[in-house]
Amino acid sequence: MTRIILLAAALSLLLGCGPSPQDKAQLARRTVQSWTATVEKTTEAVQRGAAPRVYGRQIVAAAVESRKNEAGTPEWGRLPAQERAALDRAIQRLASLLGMPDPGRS
Amino acid sequence: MSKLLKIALGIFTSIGGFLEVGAIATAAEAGASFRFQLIWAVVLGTICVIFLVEMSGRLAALSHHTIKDAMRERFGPRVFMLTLISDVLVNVLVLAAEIGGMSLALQLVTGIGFRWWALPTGLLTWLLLWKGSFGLIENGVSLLGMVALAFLVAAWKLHPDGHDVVAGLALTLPAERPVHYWFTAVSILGAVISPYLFYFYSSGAIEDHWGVDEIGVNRAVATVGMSFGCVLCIAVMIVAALVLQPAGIQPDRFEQLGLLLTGPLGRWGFYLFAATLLVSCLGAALELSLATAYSFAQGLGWNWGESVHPRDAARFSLTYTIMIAAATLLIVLGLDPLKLTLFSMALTSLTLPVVTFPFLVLMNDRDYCGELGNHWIGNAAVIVISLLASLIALVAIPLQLMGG
Repeated sequence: MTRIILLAAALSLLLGCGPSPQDKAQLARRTVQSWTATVEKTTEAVQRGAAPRVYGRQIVAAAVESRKNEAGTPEWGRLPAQERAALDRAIQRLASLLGMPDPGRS
Repeated sequence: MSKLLKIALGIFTSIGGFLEVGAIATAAEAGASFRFQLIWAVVLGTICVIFLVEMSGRLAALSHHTIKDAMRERFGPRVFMLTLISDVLVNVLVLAAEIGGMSLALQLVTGIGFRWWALPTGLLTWLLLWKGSFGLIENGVSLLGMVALAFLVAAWKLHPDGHDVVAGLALTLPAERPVHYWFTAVSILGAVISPYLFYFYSSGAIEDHWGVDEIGVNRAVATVGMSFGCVLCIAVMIVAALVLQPAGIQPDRFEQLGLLLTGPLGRWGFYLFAATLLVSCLGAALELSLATAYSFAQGLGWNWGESVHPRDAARFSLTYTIMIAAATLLIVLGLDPLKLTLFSMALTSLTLPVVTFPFLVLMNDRDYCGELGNHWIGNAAVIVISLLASLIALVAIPLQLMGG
């Protein structure tokens, strides 16, 4: 019995420590900003020849996938519109530099 | 071979063997998220691993026992099986992370998805073990691992602020994301204090027929080699802190780490990063597979030895074959290599006392080490660091899992 009570107490303590809605929103925002920065830095690296085009394509694919995952969460709608648009613009710019089809249309 | 040459070769292999997917991923994650704030974790882990590696070499040189066969002999089958189960669970995950790391390195260069590379890289690992000798694995692959020095060059070119770097040696609490901070800290500790490293080292000492004469060489290799490895790991953290963090990049996929060296080293940096990831993961995958096979064989009394023909050590060879197949399968099934790496490193921290405490008992047993048993400083350092890593992991792993 004591073990069950201790286990229940430990579980409730852990569950109580789960992320708050603010934490989730902050994490979503950080993820979007991080991917925008990644895509922009990759664009710059591809432009100056520091990264091969094949790497740029992988970053476009990864960013599109991450954006898709984020868009499926409730936090996505609460993100500032300009930050979402900045990610889309960055992806589109890198895709167009690499001659890839517009990821927003595929 | 002269002592000096032995020391030099040992140091090179230690440096090459120190960096692997866990050290690269956790150090980069730490640098990108917390700048230099987690340098203390790398240093703390290195202190512990220096003691453990030195002890494992000393045990082999003095008693002609590897850690595992001494454990089986001293504690009996129950304690041995407990450590074996813990090793196998952690090692399969870490091996999968290493195969994932190699596959990602090839993906970065070719654009072909990492899952397609899992089978060829798994096969390459197996083939090298099947056909290669212990010398090839110990020296060849580890020497190739010197390509990781690119991180040191990059860190130097980025001119980090010396005061900030030194300040990272002190434990400070983060301004935000405390759970992620502690999770990353235990992942670093797990990556640095990898038990397979000292199992492999003690088995290698037996394969190389070490005796009392090698104790000095062993001490020099463990201290200097691991310290250089630590410097390389800190270099990865510095590069991530100065390249990724100012841009606001907090990697949640391995692909993002491809940018680490493109800033300071240009296009060469991109290929050097991929080469470092590929070679260091290959070296770690070989050592991990062998370390697990050694554990089984030494504890269960099978024939073993990397230089022995597979036909003459069939169960030993079968063990690493199964390990590699299982780990490859995890990557083929699509486990995220970065998440797998961070999680398996944290899990390594959690299980550290299971591995280190029985080992310490052996090192204080006069039947095994005679007059050259452990000093209290070594005992205290390993006990405190292992317990600390395990306790933080116990709290941080569930919290990180719940927080995504």
